[in-house]
Amino acid sequence: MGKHNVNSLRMKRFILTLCLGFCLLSLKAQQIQLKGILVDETTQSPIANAIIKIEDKTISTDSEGFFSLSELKPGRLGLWIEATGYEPYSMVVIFTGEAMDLGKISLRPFILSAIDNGLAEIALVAEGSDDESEIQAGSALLAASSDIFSSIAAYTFSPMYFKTRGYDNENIAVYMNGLMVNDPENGRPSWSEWGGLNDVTRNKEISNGMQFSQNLLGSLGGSTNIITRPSLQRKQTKFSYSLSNRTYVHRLMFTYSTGMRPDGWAISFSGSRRWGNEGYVEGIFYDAWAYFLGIERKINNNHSLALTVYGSPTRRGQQGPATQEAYDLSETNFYNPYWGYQQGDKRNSRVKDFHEPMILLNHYGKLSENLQWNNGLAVSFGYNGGTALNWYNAPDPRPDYYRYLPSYATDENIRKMVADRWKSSENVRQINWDKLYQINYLSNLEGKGARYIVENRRNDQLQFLINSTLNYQINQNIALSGGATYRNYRGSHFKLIEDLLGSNYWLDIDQFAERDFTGDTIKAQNDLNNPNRKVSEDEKFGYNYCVYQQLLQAWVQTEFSYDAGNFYAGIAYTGQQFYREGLMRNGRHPDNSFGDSQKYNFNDATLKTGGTYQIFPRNFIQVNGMYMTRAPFIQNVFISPRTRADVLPQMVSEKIVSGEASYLMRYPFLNLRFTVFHTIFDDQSEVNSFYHDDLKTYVNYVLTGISKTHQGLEFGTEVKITSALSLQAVAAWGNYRYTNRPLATICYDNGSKPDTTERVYIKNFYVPGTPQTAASLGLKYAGRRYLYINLNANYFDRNYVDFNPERRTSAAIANLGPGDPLITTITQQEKLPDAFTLDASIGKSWRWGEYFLNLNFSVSNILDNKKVITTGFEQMRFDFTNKDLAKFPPKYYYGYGRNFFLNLGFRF
Amino acid sequence: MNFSNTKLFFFIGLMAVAAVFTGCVKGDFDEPPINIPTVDFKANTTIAQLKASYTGILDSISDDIIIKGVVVANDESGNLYKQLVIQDETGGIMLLIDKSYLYTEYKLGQRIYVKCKGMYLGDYNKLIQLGYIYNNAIGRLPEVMVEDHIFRDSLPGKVPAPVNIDVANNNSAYINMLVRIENVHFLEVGVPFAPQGASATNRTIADASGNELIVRTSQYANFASMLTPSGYGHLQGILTIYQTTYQLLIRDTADIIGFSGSTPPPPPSGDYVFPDPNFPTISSLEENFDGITNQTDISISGWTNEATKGNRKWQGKIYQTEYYAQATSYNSTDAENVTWIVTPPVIYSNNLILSFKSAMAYYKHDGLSVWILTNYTGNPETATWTQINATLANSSSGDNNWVASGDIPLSNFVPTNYTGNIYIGFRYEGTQTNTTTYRIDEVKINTTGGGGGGGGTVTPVSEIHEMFDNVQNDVNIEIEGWLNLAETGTRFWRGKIFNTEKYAQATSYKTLDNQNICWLITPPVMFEGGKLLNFKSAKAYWVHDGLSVWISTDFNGSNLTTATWTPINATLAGKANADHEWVSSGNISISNYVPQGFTGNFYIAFKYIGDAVNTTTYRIDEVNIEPVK
Repeated sequence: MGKHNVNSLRMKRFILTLCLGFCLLSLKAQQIQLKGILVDETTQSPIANAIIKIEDKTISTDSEGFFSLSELKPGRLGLWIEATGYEPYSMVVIFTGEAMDLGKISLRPFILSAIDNGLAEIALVAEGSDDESEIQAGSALLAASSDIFSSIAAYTFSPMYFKTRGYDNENIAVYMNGLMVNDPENGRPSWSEWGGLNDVTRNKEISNGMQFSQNLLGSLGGSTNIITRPSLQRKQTKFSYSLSNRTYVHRLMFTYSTGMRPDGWAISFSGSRRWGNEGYVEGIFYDAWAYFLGIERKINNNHSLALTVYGSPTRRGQQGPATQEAYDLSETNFYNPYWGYQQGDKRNSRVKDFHEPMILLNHYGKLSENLQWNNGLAVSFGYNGGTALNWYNAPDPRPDYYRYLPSYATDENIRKMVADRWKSSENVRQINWDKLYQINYLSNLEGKGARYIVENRRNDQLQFLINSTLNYQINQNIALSGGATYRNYRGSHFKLIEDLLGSNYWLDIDQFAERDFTGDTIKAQNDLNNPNRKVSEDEKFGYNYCVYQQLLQAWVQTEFSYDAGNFYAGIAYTGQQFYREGLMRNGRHPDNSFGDSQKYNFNDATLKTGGTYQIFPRNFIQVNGMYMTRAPFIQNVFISPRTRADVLPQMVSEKIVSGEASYLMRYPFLNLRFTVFHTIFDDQSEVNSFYHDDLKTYVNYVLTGISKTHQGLEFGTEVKITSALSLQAVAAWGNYRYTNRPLATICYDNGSKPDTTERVYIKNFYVPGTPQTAASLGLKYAGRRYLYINLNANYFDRNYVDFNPERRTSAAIANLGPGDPLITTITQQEKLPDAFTLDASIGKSWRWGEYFLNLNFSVSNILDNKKVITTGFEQMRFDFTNKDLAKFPPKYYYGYGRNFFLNLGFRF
Repeated sequence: MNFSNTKLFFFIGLMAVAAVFTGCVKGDFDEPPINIPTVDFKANTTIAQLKASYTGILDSISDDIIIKGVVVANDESGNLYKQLVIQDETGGIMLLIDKSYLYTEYKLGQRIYVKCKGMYLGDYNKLIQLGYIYNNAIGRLPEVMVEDHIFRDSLPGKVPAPVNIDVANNNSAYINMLVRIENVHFLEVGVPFAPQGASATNRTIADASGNELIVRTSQYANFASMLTPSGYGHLQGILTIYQTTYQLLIRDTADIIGFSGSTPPPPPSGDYVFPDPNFPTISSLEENFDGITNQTDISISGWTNEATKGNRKWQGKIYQTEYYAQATSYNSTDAENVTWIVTPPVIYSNNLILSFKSAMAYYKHDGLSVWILTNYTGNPETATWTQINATLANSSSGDNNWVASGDIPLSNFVPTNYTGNIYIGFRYEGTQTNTTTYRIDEVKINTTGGGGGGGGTVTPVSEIHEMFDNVQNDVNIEIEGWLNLAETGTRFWRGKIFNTEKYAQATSYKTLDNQNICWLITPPVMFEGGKLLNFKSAKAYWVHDGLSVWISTDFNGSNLTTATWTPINATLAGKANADHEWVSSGNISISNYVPQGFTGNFYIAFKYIGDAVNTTTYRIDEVNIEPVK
């Protein structure tokens, strides 16, 4: 490294000063000594962007799958290859010093990868709780990569909603061709928007945890950049059919990609449909289409333009959680309260219905051999809705409403009668649609409005994204990258009448305010500008507001690579402004519901650094650390956005400090990673909205100033027993806890009471929603003639029930003397039972010339264990008077019993 | 891609398309038809008998006792909670049911049967109730048992008229019945019926003689915060008792009638008196005689019912679910009868329209006439009545068939620039030989007319022969059983008389609406294995084809949009025809439009669509639906 480089840039100088200690390398004329081409085992198409490690060197393959190495010392060399979507590959090369051509090296696709075998989709369609917040897909599956721990966690842990390191999905950054696609309002990746496009979203750049990522700054829980660039799609025509008993029954997928053609065009098309009238759970229908079209034009050797359009119009019925009482009565842990018969057909009251297409324009530019410049422009739009029953001064239509269950009856005989009726009549156990119609008809006869309707709660998003990234390889050792992103977003939130259920209209007033303020014709109005409106189908009602966000992010990072290791450091700035625009003047809040709210500004920073050091050959130590501040997500800022513009009492950015240290071994027969990590979250806030049974109104329950700590261990290894048989073992142990007593603010949607504040005693509570212990032991046989067999035994424990904060307040234990055992009963957190499952899969491929046929069959939960609770949450209701916990018991979701996925693929 | 690949590609594509389109996912659901509940058993005990069997000690009912009654009060306003009050001709009783929002299923006027065996009869401070046992006292029937004990029968009908009671009398026979107390006032005026904080509040009313009664209201009633009115008026509600104290439970604000000012209304009098000119005048009126008592002289606040010759007055009549006013000289001992029933004063405006319906039975003579009074100035002697030529039931109407009056613009009978009040009087005259019975109902005075629909009966018919001979020129068509609906815009099908021809016409000529869609729909016709339809149509001033003919087998009689309408292929007047030329539709077999083996009813609809540009006038006449011969 010459001195003349030092004075070019101030930044460079700073970094160079830092790295002087690493300067060990002397430059020599390069001569290729070892080369080869990586290809897909089944299609023989080249694999680009694969990482190849040999001894202490790391290189990657080019777009033709080609790699070459120089400066090697003679001897037995371990070669280690990692490529996203493929199983890791290792071999030993005896290098004599003479140039060697390794020829074609075939990698085996991760056919078992979570996405391909449909298992992940269980998690992705799992349904929300009472408070409408969807259970997040296990974050693990967003990061299936060539890391053994991550890939095993992705598919064997996903049915348990395992979250890597206990992180919520907002901590995982997902990009589509470099453009951020996390939901602007809650930070979560909207994975389902490209559901059914597995073939064309297979290319990914993944970084786990806080690991370095070349093109992005990344996030706390890792990042995934999906690359749909047509020239990188393998050239193929592919047709596949899948059969499953999970969420959908059938899947048809067709993909056609030309690869980069000699005339400079590359085209990639994919379309699919996933459908079924009923999956594993009763009443769940599935009807999802998906389309993708990518066109790339090579302008010259250095520049390419790509246009991408995709979307996934989906309608599917949802599964509702239930209490154990309801499960026991229906004699199945897969009872689904969301459906019922209408004229003999099963109808689901909760239907997800969305189609949010995205159009992207990408520019890939190589300004020089060392300078890469990529740009992106995207727009996404469409609709996203979910239906639910609504009712006006009429009995609760939900069959599992607690007053309809035997436990509500005080008399033994009545309890038995209720139980018998529940068991014997499907019209009692499920929604009785026909009856809802009859009640509406009777209302029609009086000229009155609907008693029951199906409403569609919409959240339509419109966003524009611009992104620009520069990668500059300053010299062989130093790389500098940076980028900027701008996002302009509008989220429209409103309700539509989906179905009047035979009635003539719906009166748009708040029945809870109408009841609590009898005679007050103002307060009852949802829209004072259009009072007492009679609403018809497909018209907006209830609430109508937009949130707007403008966000600017800029980042820069640098990486130093040397034989002994590498080191990187990065910094990012995020500035944003958001506000709410009310489109209805709410009768409870006439002065702060209509029009634009105040604009809120946040400035945040991220600092990130880390490095890998080879302590001796094939043994590495990796250390990463980061500090970031993060503005609260819009979803957690407005405490009752449906009715007013009020925000959190304290508007501060959340603070995150995190560190991790790993030990890695990369032997041809042994691949191992062991990691310890520790993360501290401070000043988090959460807003929950739910119907409060005692107060008989919607309330918003706002927790602010939450502190959490996430610490734990990760272990993953794969040991080759023979060339075909290997042993896999992974384990995660975490300790994810709340570390303080946050403040809760309770706001009543009907305005019947002023906001109240209370302390919530949840210090040392476990963070719910993921098993904190998870382990899997697997055997993998990858035999000749494209045959493979996998067997995995999995164990999960320390999964905790999501708690109702109100049960951990002084009000909840009021009037109980010190030492009263009831205090512990009320306040303690429930742990779900541990679980053991066994999975297996078998796959076989056949090849005739250029035709490939493959057949995969996987069975999960072979032992048919139907008692595995994957998620549990306490109802947001508490019997303050009698302190009877049995009155509002927790609700659970159970993991599927034995389930299968069969896939038949044909390609040429 | 070479040739064989192309073939393969097509093969795969074809397979995919076939698989995808056969793999249907259920998306649309049939709307259930309205369910008309029936019971296959009979009541064997009256409510009075059931109450009489109560010994004063809570006991379960072990006999197979079945009572029936009509719901006269429910929980809709919140003044009653988990309670229904039903009554039959003999008395009323309160049912206790452990279920909220009972009113969604048990509407006022709903006839229900109660299988009492296994239920409990008890009393709450002397108010007899039918329910279940709870803590050794009378309690609510658990929800799970409701379907074994309480049965709805048919759709809700009319609510029985309240019994007029006098506070001074012993009213124990009327406990748990719908009663009416006239000319009373609140002792505390301007206070809430039921302030929040107390579960229920007593207010006292008194009649002119000072006899008092408690009005008890729950804090959960949706009118709890309403203030007690001043002045005298009438109250309706359920009469209950607490130990020895009578209480009135108002059902909702419609039970509070006529309170205004501080002057008590004039006492009822047998002498002919014109209505008090100070009676609060109204700008529209609708009277369905729902408040009448069977076989009793009609007494409606503001109305006058007077016999000017003989002793017969207009009486209330209930026939099945129909309530109406009737006058007759049948079996009269008077040599001659003349009786008037007169509306309250209505403030006149230029576009006021009168509509009503009339029926007759046992025809002997034309005895009904309709009159309007305009120049009433306070001196009855100077008042003059003008006769209104309305369509009335006559010798050809058939017994008991309702005949719509049509929409009668009152401006035809009122001096130009008239301001003031008008009264409408229905005059019946008869003798011992001229004994025809006349009935009237649905008297409306408003600016929109009868609502555009004949409506009324939904009794399916076997044949239709509609010549539109009873239409009035330029008046919206109202024919019993037919529906005349304006789906979009304000134009309806109208009657037209041209020379001697009478027919139905629809047009958008000179419309002010963005669009006109109007429907003229027959009564339900029984298919009975096959029917033929024919009619004739004509057009004038052709610019567009605006007429179409439709059939529906699932129309519910009111909601156009939930029904499936199938177009009928008929020969219609079109561009090629001369203006006003009648074109026969030809015989259309309904069998072509219903599924094989169809056994239900069907409706035929004539639909007109037009707008300010597409203005062709369409006419139809001689609509015949008859069995296939």
